[in-house]
Amino acid sequence: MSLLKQPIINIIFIGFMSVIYSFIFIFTAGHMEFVSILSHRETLNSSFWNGWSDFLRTGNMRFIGYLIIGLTIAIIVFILIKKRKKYDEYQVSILSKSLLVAGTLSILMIPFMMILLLSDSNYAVETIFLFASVQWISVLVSYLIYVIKF
Amino acid sequence: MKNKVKNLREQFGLSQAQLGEKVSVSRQAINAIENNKFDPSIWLAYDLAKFFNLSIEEIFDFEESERK
Repeated sequence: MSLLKQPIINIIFIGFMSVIYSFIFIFTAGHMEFVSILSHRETLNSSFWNGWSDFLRTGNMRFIGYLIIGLTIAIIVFILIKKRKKYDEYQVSILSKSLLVAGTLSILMIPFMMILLLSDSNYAVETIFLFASVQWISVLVSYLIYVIKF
Repeated sequence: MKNKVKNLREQFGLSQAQLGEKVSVSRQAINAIENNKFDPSIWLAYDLAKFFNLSIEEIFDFEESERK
């Protein structure tokens, strides 16, 4: 965790992960093969899930990718402007706790998604994308609050 | 862990930010230590003790610590 003391390590970590997420969201938006695996039959009587599925199908998920890029740029700019010194041990403890929560959620989601896919694959892709969106945007927003506050 | 950092800081007439500067940590770190929300490392405790010219045990109450 001592690596987290370095602002540059935070920039590299956030930047690297955001590039992967935004690439997935922007590249797969409207991609024919991706659209074909979404739940077209609307088997679930839920306006939320059908609306989310429509949102993905029409390629609007690229905007989530743009949001990720925007938040990441804001975080990096704040780090570069405000943080010239290393983070102290209190700040590192907060950062490590935040990453521990995000990591634990990701680990818990792997078996949950396996159960989801094996029991009923309908809306599984939508669920995975919703989780990925909420998880990474939550990490970015909390990181942004952190860099503004400290 | 209970500690006397706030009292000592006030005796020295320092703000949290000023004390933070003296021991190379942020104002938020000093605030968290004073409010018992954060237990400092042995190195930071040493720096605080050295600055106040006291021993670590005179500043931090290990007997009352929950970790004991």
